[in-house]
Amino acid sequence: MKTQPAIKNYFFGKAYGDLKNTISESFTRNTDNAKDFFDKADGATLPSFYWGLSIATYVFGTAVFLFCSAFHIVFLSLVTIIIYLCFSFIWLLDAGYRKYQKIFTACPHCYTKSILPVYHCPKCNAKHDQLWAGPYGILQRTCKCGEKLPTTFFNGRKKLTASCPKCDKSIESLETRPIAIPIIGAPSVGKTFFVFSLVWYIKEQFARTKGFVFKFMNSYNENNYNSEISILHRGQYLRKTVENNPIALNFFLTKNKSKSLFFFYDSAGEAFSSTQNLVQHKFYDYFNGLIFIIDPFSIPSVYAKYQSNLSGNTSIKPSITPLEDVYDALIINLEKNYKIKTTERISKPVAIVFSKVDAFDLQNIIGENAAQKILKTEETVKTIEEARREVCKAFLKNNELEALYRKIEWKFGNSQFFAVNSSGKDSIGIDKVANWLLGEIDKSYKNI
Amino acid sequence: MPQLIGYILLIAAYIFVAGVAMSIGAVFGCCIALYNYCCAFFNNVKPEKI
Ligand SMILES: Nc1nc2c(ncn2[C@@H]2O[C@H](COP(=O)(O)OP(=O)(O)O)[C@@H](O)[C@H]2O)c(=O)[nH]1
Ligand SMILES: [Mg+2]
Ligand SMILES: [Zn+2]
Ligand SMILES: [Zn+2]
Repeated sequence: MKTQPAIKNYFFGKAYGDLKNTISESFTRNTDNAKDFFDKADGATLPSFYWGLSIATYVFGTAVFLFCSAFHIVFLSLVTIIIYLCFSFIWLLDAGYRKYQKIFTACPHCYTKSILPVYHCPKCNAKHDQLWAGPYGILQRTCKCGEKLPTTFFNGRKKLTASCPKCDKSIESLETRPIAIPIIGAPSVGKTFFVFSLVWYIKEQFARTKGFVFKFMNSYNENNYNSEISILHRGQYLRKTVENNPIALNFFLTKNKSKSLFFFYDSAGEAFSSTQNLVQHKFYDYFNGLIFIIDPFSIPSVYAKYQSNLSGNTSIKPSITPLEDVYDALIINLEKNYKIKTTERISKPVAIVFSKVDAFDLQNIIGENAAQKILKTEETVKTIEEARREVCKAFLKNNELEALYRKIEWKFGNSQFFAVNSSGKDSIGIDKVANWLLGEIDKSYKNI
Repeated sequence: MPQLIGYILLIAAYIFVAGVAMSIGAVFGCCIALYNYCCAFFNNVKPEKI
């Protein structure tokens, strides 16, 4: 354990110094006494009496001294072992609980993953970066300033002020299981529209119908959401995302014992223009699911088809970055920085989402209408999920992107295709993305 | 003969006195050492001051 600004448990710190001092002091006391008696024999009427005392003190005194020291050592070791076992047990309990609940700390600012955040002493603000059971204390420890701090998940540790071990910014995760979902896509594909519509759905419908309590992690997130969603509902444009390294959008979703903290990462699309930019996105190390957004109008042949109509419609804002570039940047980043092999499939759920399907007749080509139609007419298509995949596959195929479809299907072992329109409460298809993705991430979110 | 008995008694008396002296010495030595250990213990074993 690293040095902590706290006082070590007596039996792991001071006890051994005390033992050494006690032993040496008692031995000197014995020899001093013996010498005194020996000196007194000089000129005494009965010198042999003092000699006798001196010898007795030496011989029997040393024997008793040895016995006492041995007893002291054995007793101390015994107590140390017992305390060691106690703190190991509590440490194991605490670590096991976190492991079982999949709890760790993810920084919304610098994305660093840590076991626990750095906790601050409420009295002197000293930083305790390993606030768990150990030589400093079992259930609690005493800070250098004298304040007692809890060291386990069940006696109030998570309520202490916390900060990121890497960037020092504040952590408000309350030791909750993080669920990290990066949103991937080129500039203007509709990531920001999608994220706020998705959060609106989770907050207003998903949580309500399934009995979850929705709560933003802090007022920054709440204000950000409120202002963006009201812009969205007024039908205005959201401001362009400029942050390559976004602060995560965080909220808690709680039901009985299950509590999770969501992290949505909505980076500026420019971040995907080169793998270099993605190096800092450390959340790819621990993400739970991906949302890959595709703007149908970024596909040249689709753009060409609707070109004349698009020029009159300013609200669609077609993305101009080729789809494959974003896909390649993402995969290269995963392979280079997170040791995912070229031949390895990603088993975490990936939602492939076509945006802007409210435009023109897309609803009939890749939207729900098209999927329903295929479900009815095609014998081989059994479920609506398969139907959605089929229409998207056909769409990509008809637009010279079959190779990309194959790559996506192979690389993402657990993927599903969706077509959405993101406009807050009037969105289409967002609910299906949320239900599928959350259900795949944790079965407690599955339809009940 | 009585002389021999006298000697034996004398030796026995010596041994007895020596034994008693030894025992007293032992008890004394032990007590002093125990007292010293206790003093040393209470002088040194204290919880850390803040
Ligand atoms: N019609 C329509 N337009 C959309 C939709 N989503 C996004 N857009 C348009 O695409 C533009 C870019 O969206 P935005 O979310 O800011 O893209 P980002 O750069 O990926 O975050 C917006 O100004 C919207 O006009 C959608 O679902 N339907
Ligand atoms: Mg954006
Ligand atoms: Zn950080
Ligand atoms: Zn303190």
